[in-house]
Order: sequence, then C-alpha cells, then structure tokens
Amino acid sequence: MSYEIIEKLKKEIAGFKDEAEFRDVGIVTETGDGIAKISGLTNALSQELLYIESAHGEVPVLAANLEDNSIGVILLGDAVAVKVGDRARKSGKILSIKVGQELLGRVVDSLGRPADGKGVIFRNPESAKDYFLERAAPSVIERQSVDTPLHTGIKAIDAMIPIGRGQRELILGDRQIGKTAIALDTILNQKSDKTGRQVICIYVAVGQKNSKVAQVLKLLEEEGASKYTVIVSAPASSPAALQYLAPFAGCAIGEYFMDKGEDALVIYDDLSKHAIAYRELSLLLRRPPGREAYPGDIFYLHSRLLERAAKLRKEQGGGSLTALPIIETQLGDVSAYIPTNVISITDGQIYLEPKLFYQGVRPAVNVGLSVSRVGSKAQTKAMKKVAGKLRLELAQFRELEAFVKFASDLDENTKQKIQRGARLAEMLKQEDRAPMEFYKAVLIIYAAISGFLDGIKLSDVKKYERELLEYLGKLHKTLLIEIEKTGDISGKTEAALKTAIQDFTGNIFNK
Amino acid sequence: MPGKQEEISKRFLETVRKNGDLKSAGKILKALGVFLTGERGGRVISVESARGMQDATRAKFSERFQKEDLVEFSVNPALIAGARVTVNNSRELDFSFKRKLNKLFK
Repeated sequence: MSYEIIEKLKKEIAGFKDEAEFRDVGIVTETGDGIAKISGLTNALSQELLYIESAHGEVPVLAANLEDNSIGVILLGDAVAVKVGDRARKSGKILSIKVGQELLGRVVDSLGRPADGKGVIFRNPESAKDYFLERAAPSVIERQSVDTPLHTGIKAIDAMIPIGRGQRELILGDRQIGKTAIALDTILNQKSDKTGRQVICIYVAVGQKNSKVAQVLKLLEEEGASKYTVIVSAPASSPAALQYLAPFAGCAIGEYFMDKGEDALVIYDDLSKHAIAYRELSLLLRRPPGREAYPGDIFYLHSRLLERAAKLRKEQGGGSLTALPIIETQLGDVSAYIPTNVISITDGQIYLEPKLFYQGVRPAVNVGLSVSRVGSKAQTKAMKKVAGKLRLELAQFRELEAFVKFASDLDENTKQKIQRGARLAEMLKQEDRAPMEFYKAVLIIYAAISGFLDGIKLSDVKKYERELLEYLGKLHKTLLIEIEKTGDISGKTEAALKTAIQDFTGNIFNK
Repeated sequence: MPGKQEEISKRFLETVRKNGDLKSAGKILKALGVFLTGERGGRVISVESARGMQDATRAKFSERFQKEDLVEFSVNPALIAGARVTVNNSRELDFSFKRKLNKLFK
C-alpha cells in the first residue's frame, strides 16, 4: 500500500469520533419470497422506509404489515442478501423517488433508478425533487372540471369517447387486441397536437415482457416522442414489490409535472398485472384473501391511485394529470372482479371487442359499450358538431346491421342508412401508429355524415380520405388552419368547406 | 417443589417428542424463557461478543441488570471486536468494532 493512502487513512481515523449510544432496532426473524418479518421497531410507521443491515450492505424495505409483535416488510433491494438475525433500522421517511425535467426520454424502475443503461439521470442533483410514491389525491377545492381535450389521434375515440385533460379513462379488452396500441398512439399524437400545452407522457409498464418495453422505447424514439415521455418499467422478471410500486412511481412523476402547471398523461399498462402482483405480496404477508384471493383493499389500491389524476384549478397552477389505466379481460369477461372495480373508479371506458378485431375493425372499439362520462365537456366545438350526428348514424346502423343479409327486401331509406353506416364504420378504421390531428378527423367525419361518401365504393373510402385531406391541405389550407386554431366550424367556414368537398368529390375523385 | 417440577419437565418433553419437535426443543425452551421473563416483568438481554467471554466478565455483565431479566450470551465473530447488547429485540447498544468501521467508511 502506498504511503499516501496510509497517510490519508490515518488522517481520516484521527478525526473520527464515535460514541456508542442506544438506538431502536428490529431483528429479521423470517425472510423469503421478497418479504421479511421483523421483530422490534415498535414505533415504525405504516408505509415507512426501513433499512436492513445485511452483510452485503443496506437493503431498503417497506413496512407493510404492522402487527402486535412484528412488522411484515416488502424487500425493495437484494432479497438474497437478507438473513435471519440481520438488524433493521428506521429511516423516518416515506418511500419517494427523485423527479425532475431530466427524466424525460429516460427509462426508470419503480424506485427511480435508471433502467436504460444511459447512466445517471440527474447530472445536477439539486434540480431533482423528492416526490412521495403515496400521496393524498388533490381535494375537492383544488380541482376543477375538465375543460381541455386530450386528443388521442384516433377518430373513433376523439369523436365519440372524448377524453379531457385530468380525466381517468379505462382501456379494457382481451389480450392482443390493441390496448397498448391505443395508448401509444395517444402518446405519438401529443407531438403534433396543438390544442393546448405540450402533454408530458408517462408510460408505466407493469409485468410486461422486457422485449415489449424495448419495442415501446424504440417506437417512441423513432417517432420523436421520447423527448416528452418517461417510461417506468417493472417487467415480469422484476420482483412483485417493484411491480406493485411502479404505477405509484409513474403517478408521482406525473404529479411533479402537474404541480408545475403542466399537463401530464400517465398510462398504466396494465392494472390487471398490478393487481396480481399485489395479490402475491398480500398472500405472502398473510393478509386474509377475499374474492378471487385478492386482498380486501384491492379496490382501495386502485382507487387511491386513480384518484390522483386531476385537473387543478388555476389558483393551484392549473396543471392536470390524465390517467389511462389498461385492464386485460379474460375471454371478454368485463364483469370479473378487477375490471368491474376499475370501471367503477374511472370516468369512462374504451372497450375493445375481439369480434370487431377479427372482422378487421381496428381499433376494435365497441362504441356502444364505451363511454366517456366527462370528456364531452372538453371536446372542441368542431368535433362536437360532427360527432353528435356520427353517433346517431352509427347507432341506427348497428340496429339495422342484422338486416344486411336481406338487403334486397329492404326499403330505400333503410338501405341508405345501412350503406352510410358501413361507410362510416370503414372511415373510422385506422392503422396503428397513424394518429390523426383532430381537425383532419373533423373534416373526414364532416364529409362522411354529410353524405359525400355515400356514392363511393367501400373499398375506396380510405383512398378518398387520403386524397381529400391532401386536396384540402394544398388548396384550402386556410380552412384547416382556422379549424385547428379556433377548434370550431363557423357558418362561413362550413359553407366554404362544403363547397370544397363537393368540388373534390364531384370533379376530382369521381372523375 | 422439586418433584412437581420434574414431573412437569417430563410431561413437557413427552409432548415435544409426541409432536416430533425434539429437534426444536432448544428453541421452544428459549421461547418459553422469553415468555416467562416477560410475565415476570423482566427484559430479554442479548449480549453478543466477538469472542467468548470469561465467566467473570459474564458475571460482571449480568450484575448490571435486574434479577428478573434474562441475560443471554452468544459469540458473533462478525462483530470483529467488542460487543453488542440488545434489549427485548428492540433497543441496541453497539460498541463493536464492526459498527465503528461501518461508520468510518460510510
């Protein structure tokens, strides 16, 4: 050992003062499967962060069960390092993560540690703030009704199931049916949407495959959406504890932006796996199982998470946190325990139906079963004008759809309604990763409900849509800009629009 | 009453044997000791030292506590040097070298 090192050590030791003093400790009496039991620490708080002093360093744990003679804790670090007999100490802190602007474009785990291999997140630690994972939802006086739309870029949703900033809208459906695709399209659409402030997106992956998270990240980077997005990843391979905490971490990040007066969107993909992770922990902690072996507080778990989504009043900064939880159903069973719980908590749901998916209707949104309880208040006037008629026409079409097989025996009026309905349904089909700006969607829906698609072959509807937008973009750009800026279609604009579409349909497309 | 005590101990061991818990007899007796100490209003004092203590040192240690207290001695080489005293598994006085090292290099 070099002389310098020895001298440094000597210097350190010379200045070292230490006196043994009494302190509160706990002793690990049981450990395994990501949980442990600690005796002692009688004054520990619920949800407090404790540290177990293992032979390999300190392991953070979360106090979950406070019992008569022991504490049931959830291990948040290296579970293998913890042994029976290890000491535990209190930290006096509630679990929190570091949040800040530098999180944008990064992938983090449930405790805010980088998970993308890009190194330290906060180069300037002072710029980071500590945000509690568990925080009380904004109170009634701090909130206001939603008033700004959050456009998903999906025509069917923006028109008929509108989402407002600060709303909680559930996306539910079977596996492999396009739930994540809707959420990702919503993120992508925030790049071009000029309706309000830039929406900061947080994608929380709970119990997903690592490959899926990698795909999501790649897509967001390719589409230039990663600069306003944060991914919180708790993949299937991570301990149940981290899967349980991930949505709360995502919510805390969203709250940071909301508190700054910005608009944030958090996507919980998905809460079914979150419920499963929580069930696993609860059973290991020996909490009494209830329906489907979920613990009694599973409803409270999701309600306290989703209640944190809010639109704040101007006096509170005017920020918002929109939540899009995702629930995976089994064989379309929406009446199962977790789906019904989350349906009742949220402000509406987008239901994706397998039958529609296999018929080629994508996104496979069942407009009849999907609702948005508060979003229509935030819908732009332009969209409101066209959406009312669209909903009515589609409802009539669905009623008459059964008669399509007997088309020859139907009267002209019914035939026409079926024809128009089929074109409307075709018009609402949309590919993945192709979100559409709301004003373009308004134009297409306007053309469809005004009957301009009636004379067009079903197979040409997509071509018509593409070419009409191209035509209007080139020759009537002012109309598009006006609708985008004002969010409304004035009488004058409507007349000009009608003439332009008439001109395109009659003189250009059908020629 | 020595005869009665003997009888109780015999019955206790018989019960443990019947339940196939003879291997855990030590643990059971320890738990019983802790329970009885609590009943008497005493505390369980656990003294860990890096090396085995001499009887005289043990006696000195025990003198420091009340009659009702249960004082247990054990060797824990992980402490490197010194000793650690834990009261009722919840309060600790640590004057081991390991703690000093941990604190120094934290």
